[in-house]
Parts: sequence; C-alpha cells; structure tokens
Amino acid sequence: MKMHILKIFSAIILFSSFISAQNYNDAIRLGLPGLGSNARALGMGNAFNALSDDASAAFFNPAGFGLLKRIEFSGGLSFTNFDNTTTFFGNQTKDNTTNTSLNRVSFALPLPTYQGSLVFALSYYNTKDFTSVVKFNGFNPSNTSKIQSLLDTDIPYDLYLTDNNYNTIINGNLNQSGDILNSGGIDHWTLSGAIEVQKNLFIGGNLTIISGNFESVNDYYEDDTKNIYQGETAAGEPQTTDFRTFYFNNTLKWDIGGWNAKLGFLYQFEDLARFGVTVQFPKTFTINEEFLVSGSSEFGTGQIYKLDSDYYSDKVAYNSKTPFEITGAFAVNSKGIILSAEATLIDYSQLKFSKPDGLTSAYISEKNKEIKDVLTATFNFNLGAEYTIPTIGLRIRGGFITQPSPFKEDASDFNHKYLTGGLGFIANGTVGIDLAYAYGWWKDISDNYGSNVSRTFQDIKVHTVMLTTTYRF
Amino acid sequence: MKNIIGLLALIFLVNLTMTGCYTIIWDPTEEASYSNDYDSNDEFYGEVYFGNYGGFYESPWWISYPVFIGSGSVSGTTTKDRTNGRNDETNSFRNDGGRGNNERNSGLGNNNSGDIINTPPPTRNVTPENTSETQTPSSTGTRNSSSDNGTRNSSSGNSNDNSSVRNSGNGRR
Repeated sequence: MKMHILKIFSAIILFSSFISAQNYNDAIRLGLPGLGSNARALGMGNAFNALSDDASAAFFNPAGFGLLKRIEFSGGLSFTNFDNTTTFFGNQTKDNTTNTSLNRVSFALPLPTYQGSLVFALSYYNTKDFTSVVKFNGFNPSNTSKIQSLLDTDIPYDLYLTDNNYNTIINGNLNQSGDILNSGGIDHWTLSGAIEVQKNLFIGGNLTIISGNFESVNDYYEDDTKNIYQGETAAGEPQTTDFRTFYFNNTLKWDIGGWNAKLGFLYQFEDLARFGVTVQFPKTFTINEEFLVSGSSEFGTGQIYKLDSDYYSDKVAYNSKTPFEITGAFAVNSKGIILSAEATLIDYSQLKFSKPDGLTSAYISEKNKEIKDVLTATFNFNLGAEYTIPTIGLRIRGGFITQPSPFKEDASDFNHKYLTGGLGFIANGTVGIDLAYAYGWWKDISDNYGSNVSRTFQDIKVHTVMLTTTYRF
Repeated sequence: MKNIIGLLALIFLVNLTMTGCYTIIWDPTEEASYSNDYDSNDEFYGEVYFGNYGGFYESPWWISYPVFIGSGSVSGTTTKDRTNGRNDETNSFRNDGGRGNNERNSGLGNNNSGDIINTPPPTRNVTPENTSETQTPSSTGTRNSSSDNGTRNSSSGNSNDNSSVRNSGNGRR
C-alpha cells in the first residue's frame, strides 16, 4: 500500500514537472530583443547604436553617454496593440490585446571638464513587452485530442474521461477552441558611465539589475459538437454518458529577477560619421515560476467534474542565461540628414537553463540539448534615417528592423519585421519631444499538443506608439 | 567569441595605458576659468543644418554661451541692430563676478531690468557752495567727476539723462 501511494505521489510530481517545466519557447521569450524605450531611436528603426547621444544610451550603447554635454532628464510612454489573426483548421479567428506602460525614466550627469567627457547616468527602462494573444476555434477532424495527449497523466481519469485502466472512448473529432493571453515585461535599473579616452573616442559600460513579470493564461476547450460520444466515457459510471465538453486551463506566472552588463565603444569621425560597437554580456535571469492548473468535464446528464487545482499546481525556480550579443553600427551625417545602420549577432543556440529548483538536472540538460538542436544564430539588422528642418526645429524619421526567427527551420515569413517612422520637435532649445510609430508583422505557429496535429497558424501585426520627452539644462 | 572579446579588451587597455586618458576633469579647487579652456570635440550637430538642436547637443552645461537668435528663428523674435564687438558698454560687465568688481559695484549687482536705482545723494561735497547741486539726481557738468557719481551712474544705464556721463571715467580708477 505504502509503495503504491509512493508511486502515485512520484507520478504526480513528475507530471507537475513535465507540464510546468520550461522549454526553448521560454528561453526565446527572454532572449529576443525588445523595441527599447526611445522614440527617436524607434523612429529610426532602432539603428541608434552609433548615435546613442541621449540617456537611452543605457539600452543602445553606453559609450554614447560620453557625447552628452548637458544634464538630461528624460522619460516616456509606450502603447502597444497586438493583433493576431489565427487560422485553425480552415477557420479564421481574430483577437487583439493592448498595453500602455511607462517605458523610461533617465537622468544623466556630464561632469565639467577642460577637455573630453565623463558622464554618469541612472536609468529605469522597459525593454520588453510580453503582450500578445492567440485565439482559435475550429473542428479537428483527426483522431487526436488533448484529452488523449494527457492520458499519461491522471487528468482524464480525474475528470471521468477514462475507465479505471486509463482507457478512453475519445478518439478525436472534436471542436477545439481557446485563447492564450500573455502579459508582462522586463524592466532594467541601470547605472552607466562613459568617458572620452581619446579625442572623439568614447568607452562606456553599465551594470543592470533586472526585474519583471510574465503571465500566460491559457484556456482550452474540446467540445463534442457532432455528438459522436454518446456512451459512457468512464465504464460503469452512467452519469458520464453523452460527453459534451472538456475544459483545461493552465496559467504560468513568472517573477523575474537578474542582472547583466554591457560594454560599448563609440568613435566620432569629425562631424561626418560615428561608429559604434557594443558587447552585451549574457543576461542571467532568475525565474520563480508558479504553474496553476484547473479543468473540468461536462456531460449531457448535467454532471460536471472539476480538477483539484492544488493537486496539479506547483512552484519551481531556475535560471535562464542569454547569449552574448555583439553589435556593430555606423551613422553618417550630411547636411542635416543622418543615415544609420547596425547589425547584431545573437546565437540563440547558446540559450541555457541552469540551477533548477523543483526540476531534475537531467531534465534541464535535455532541454538545453533541444535548444541547441532547434535554434540557430541570427543577424538582426536595423536601418534608419533622420532629416532635421533647422528653421522650424522639426525632425522627420524613418526606419526598418528585421529580427530573423531563432528557429533553424523557419521561413523568412517568421522573421519579425518592423517599419517605423517618427517626428521630433525641440522647444526653447531645452525640451525635446519625440513621437514614434512602429508597425510590425510576422507569422508564427503554435501547437496545442503534439506536433502539427492541432496547430494554429498566426498572422501577427503589432502597432507600437512611443512618446519620449527630454529636458536638458 | 570569447577570444575576440578578450582581444578587443586588451587592445583598449593597452591603448589607455600607453597614451593616458584624454579627458581632464575640472578641478573645483582651481580658480582658472575652465569655461574658456574647454576643448570641444567635433560638432556632429552644427547649427547650420540642425538649428536649435546644435545647442541641445553640443553646448556643455558648465559653459555659458551668449544667446544667439538667428534671423530664421522659430520664435519669430528679433533683435535690435547693434554694433558688434567689444566696447565700453560690454567692458562694464565683461568681468562681472571676478575679484575687484564686487567692491567696485558693491550694493548694486547686475540689475539689468531697467529700473533706476535711487541712491542717496553724495555725502561728500566738493565745496560747501555746491551742496544744493550735488543733491540733485540729474546732476551734470563737472560735478560728475566725483567718485560717488561714477558709481551711481554705472547702474542706471537706462537713464538717458546720464548717458553722456555714464562711460566717462567709469570704473577703472
């Protein structure tokens, strides 16, 4: 008896680990670059590494702080609208979600010098917005279902969808629907410094404390819309006749901490051009994860069974480490027109999990191997242009961003692409106001279970509006 | 990758060690006028093509530049035609704040608001017969050669009555 209870207990722990454990999707979520927090930069397609002449240098190139000659206080807001059109078994479903956030508060202090530059800065900025949504609804005519995919757990049994031997009469042909709503973001608290080591050559660095959160609420339904399953799903239990609905919810909550460091170099060639190089050292994220599970089954008899949420929910912790990010950039200046470009190398196959708490080391090793198998190195490219109309103090900007998919097998449709534009205005020579708009589009897929048996094909469009105000005195 | 980063770090470290750092931080214990000595780097945002953004990016906060309002200014304000260059008028405040000026202008400061400061009449008369004249604010003639008048008029620049004598023998005595 004791042995039997022990086996069941072990199975529950193992199951909890499997359904809540991280995989490469979680690593990518932390590894993908965000859109930053500077409207001027975003208007120029974030091709700002070689410019970086404001307090957003903490994000782009800390050496750029060395270019500041006036005390700067700046901040801004961002608004994101995420549209997702999902095709699921020939059925299109649209949904959207929005988020508004304070994305930056920065203070930069250039120290008085006889020559050269020495600047220190404190910044809070939001680098990543996890806001997204997926909604789907369609009839899956195959002989697969989530209920069947969970047969190696106790969930179908607990919901009276199997007999005592874990066998079920469910064999696909169900209407599948649901939605996944993601929210949260990553905040950085950064101390930066930069110095002019040779005339027009700047070196800067920063140390960052990371905080943030992420929440993913996943509601999933399987309905017998064609009344295929009229018999008992649990043999000997007449109340389980006429299966109607299976509902499964899992909610993932992350409390994110961590730190990272960045080193930057910037060289200004006379008044014509600037060149920038940055090395983003691996970011170490500490994830405290809470995984909540609930579910139910409904029958034509009026019988409803619910899962014991406490039984399946759990908490784990682990670290996730991102790879080095190396960026090279240049900007040229001619008669009020600035053209800038940059490329960033990120080797996603070096994403790594470590220090598991509540997960086995073997499982972590397996997931790290999967990362190496399915992810690859990419080059992100940013292009931007800005023209200043000197007589009215107005700036007009445009840009383009491409962030290739980190998955080896993905087509170019899966690359994140953004077209950006923006305006800037200066008032009284001290207050700068910048506004940017970015339109992003890409495709994505996700599997409700298994691989390509219940897949949503997503057509994503993201609209971002960013406002930054800068006061220099 | 780590080797490349290490090499880059080494190059910059050697560079710094060999040549020293370019930046010279202002020493607050020195009285030298660092604002005059500041060696600026190349201006990426020249005012010709970037207008007010030039000052926004290129003017160090610790150096006070004279305000320049161009002919195509956004604000639409204009400046009066003036004769450029150093003259007696600018000489009078060129060295304000330095040693000596405080004593010379004690009690008057740099009031440029246009208000006429009413100062008490001179208490030291040149001769007993001229007492009534020296007590008149709009004093003219040789009475202005007195040291008291020179000081008073130096702060009442907008008084046209005194314009003829404002710069005469002002200050440098």
